[in-house]
Amino acid sequence: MFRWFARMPFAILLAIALHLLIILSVLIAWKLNAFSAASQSSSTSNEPVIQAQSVSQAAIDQQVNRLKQADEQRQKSLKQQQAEAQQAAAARRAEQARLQQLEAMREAKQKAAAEQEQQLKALQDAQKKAQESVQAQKQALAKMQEEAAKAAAEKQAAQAAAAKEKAAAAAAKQAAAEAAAQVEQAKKQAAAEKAAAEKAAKEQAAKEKAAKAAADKAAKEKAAELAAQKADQARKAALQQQLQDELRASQAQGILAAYAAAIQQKVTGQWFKPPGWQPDWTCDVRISQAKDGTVLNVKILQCDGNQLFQRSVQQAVERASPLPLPSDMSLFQSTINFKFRANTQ
Amino acid sequence: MKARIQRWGLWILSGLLFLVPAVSQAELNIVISGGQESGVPIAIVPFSTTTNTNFSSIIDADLARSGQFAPITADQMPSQPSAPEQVQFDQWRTGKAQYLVVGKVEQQGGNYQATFYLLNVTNGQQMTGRVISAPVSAARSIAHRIADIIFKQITGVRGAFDTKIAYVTETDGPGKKRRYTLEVADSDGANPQTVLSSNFPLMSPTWSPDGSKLAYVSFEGRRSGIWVQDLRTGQRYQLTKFPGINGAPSWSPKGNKIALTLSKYHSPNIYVVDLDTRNLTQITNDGSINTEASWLPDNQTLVFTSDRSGSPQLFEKTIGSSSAQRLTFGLSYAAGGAISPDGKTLALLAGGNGGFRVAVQSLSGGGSDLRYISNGGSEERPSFAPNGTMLIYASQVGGSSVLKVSPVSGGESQTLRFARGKVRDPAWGPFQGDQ
Repeated sequence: MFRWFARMPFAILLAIALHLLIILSVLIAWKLNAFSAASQSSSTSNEPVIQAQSVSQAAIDQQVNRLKQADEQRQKSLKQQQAEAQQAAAARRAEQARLQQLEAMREAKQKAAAEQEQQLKALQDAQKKAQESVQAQKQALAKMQEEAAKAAAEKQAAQAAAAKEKAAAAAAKQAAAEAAAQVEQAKKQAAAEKAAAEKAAKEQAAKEKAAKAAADKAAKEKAAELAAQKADQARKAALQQQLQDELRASQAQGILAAYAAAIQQKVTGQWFKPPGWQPDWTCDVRISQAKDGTVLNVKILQCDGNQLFQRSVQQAVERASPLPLPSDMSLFQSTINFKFRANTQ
Repeated sequence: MKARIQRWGLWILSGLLFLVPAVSQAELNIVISGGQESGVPIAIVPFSTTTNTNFSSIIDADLARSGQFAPITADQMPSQPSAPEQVQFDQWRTGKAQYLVVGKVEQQGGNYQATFYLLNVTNGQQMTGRVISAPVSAARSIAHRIADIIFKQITGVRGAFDTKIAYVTETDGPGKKRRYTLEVADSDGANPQTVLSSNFPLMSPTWSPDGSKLAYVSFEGRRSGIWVQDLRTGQRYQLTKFPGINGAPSWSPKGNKIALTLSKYHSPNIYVVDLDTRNLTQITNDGSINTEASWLPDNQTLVFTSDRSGSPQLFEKTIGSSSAQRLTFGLSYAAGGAISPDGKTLALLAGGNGGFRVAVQSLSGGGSDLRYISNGGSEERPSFAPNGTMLIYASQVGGSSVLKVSPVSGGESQTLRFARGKVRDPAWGPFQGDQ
């Protein structure tokens, strides 16, 4: 190996120099490439590549017009996109507001329910108290009667003993007379006492009656209040129902829109309109479909253009069979009207 | 709180009033706009045959040339049935084809017998089924007739594939002598037959409406003359040999007259020759150039080119009337008029910055609906197919001249292939037989 080196030093030097040169040039080329690639990418991102072509003035005008139209189209679609974005934002804001209002409604309802519950509890408490007071009055009355009877008996017994003593002490006649008189008195007293007791009882009854009337009145008022609350509740429930209906309706609208869009997309994808169509050509078609989306009948109502155009419309609907179904089958439509427009608008 | 609820209630109520009708609608209305422009997707399954003729490819090419069909290629077909009972429609429905043609061709002695069916892939129905028989030598004609039947079934318009075209060729013969021929070929350019061969220029063939004769300009004897030739017998006679120009003959729809251009030492004017009486009627008479007459279906009115208003423009004049009406506006050059068989459409050669291109406009539209049909820029006078759906014209390509066919409805033109040199002055022949 060394010998081989020694024998041809010049050749080896030359080889080394050549390799260095190659590496250097590769490096430079790579840098240049990188630079040119960078400049190219920056230029392509800023403006379209211009291809020089020798074309006639008309062609140039056409090209310019086309570019202008494309630009206008772009502007138009940009504006449309902005408008759509704004609309979407507005819709989002409206939706948010609606949700917030819904939330407020829900909170208000909860609060009202809580209040009502509290009121009901208070009412129940009051009723309980009234019942308790009636009970206490009854008990007090019974005690009073008992005590009055006891007192009367005791008095009678004492009087009877005194009369006995008198009779023993005085003459038998006197005693007897006196005794008779005393008995009479005792009788009178007993009657008086009985009357007193009856009066007390009567008064008690009147009192009881008043208490009962008061309780009844209170109960009646409570009932009226409850009824009012119930009515309020019912109204609130109805409102809630309406809210839910509205929600369901908006959901239905959304499902229906998605349903229509799915059908539109499928049918449009199957429409091959023949060359020679005119922009003002339209075709109204009425179809009926089975529950699985199979197109059963296609009826061409009004149709411009030639037989080929009409055939293309019929083929489009038939080839789109089975049609997409709605996510909620209660919104399924067994009859659909299509309006085909040759123009792209 | 209560007031708020009431407000809410109102809002919801009004919302419901607005929403409910939309939801409770009994029918859904959907707008389909645009779609994609395409010829009718059709599958011509290769016919089951032991013959050498590729029938399905001839049918394919015919339908594609019309611009109204987009035949799918054999490799896109899920299977190759040759009879309706072999067709599994579910298999085909996943593909593009809306219509399907299956068939077979058998040889019976000196004849080919073709049996074919046109099927609607989408609904699985058979639209037609036919048996066509023809001599082996007319094999291509069988395919053209099948294409015509398919075309009629689907478009409602009579097909014009089983028709002929006449044209002139120019080749360099021995000793640098130019050689001219008058040829008749199938509508797709196949089966060319030389009708006349000459060392002198031949020009402007025109078909008799029954397709049995051609009239044309010949310069034999170094003077222009109009000649009429019977295609079956080859017999020919000279119709006009006036001094000066004898040119641009046009056979009338009823077949009893020929309009032509004569100069008679003056400027060229339009005349009409009665073929029975040989009476000559002068139609135009002014100091300008009047030429290239063609007939409206009424057999009475002529459309022609005139430079009476400065540049060449197209005019219309009824025989016997005193004045001509201008038909073209907005073009610096309008010539080579041809009238569609229904008399509604005017095809012409429009000159301008884009060169000379074939265009169409409605006959009485004043050019407001002018559409360009070709885009080459060096086209020549067009001729309508007898069903008005296609135009044939010569186009200069790289120092040579070829024939092209364009759909009138717009779309790609197709170049017809010929073995010999320059091909020009095509004239599309009438329908053959009844259909």
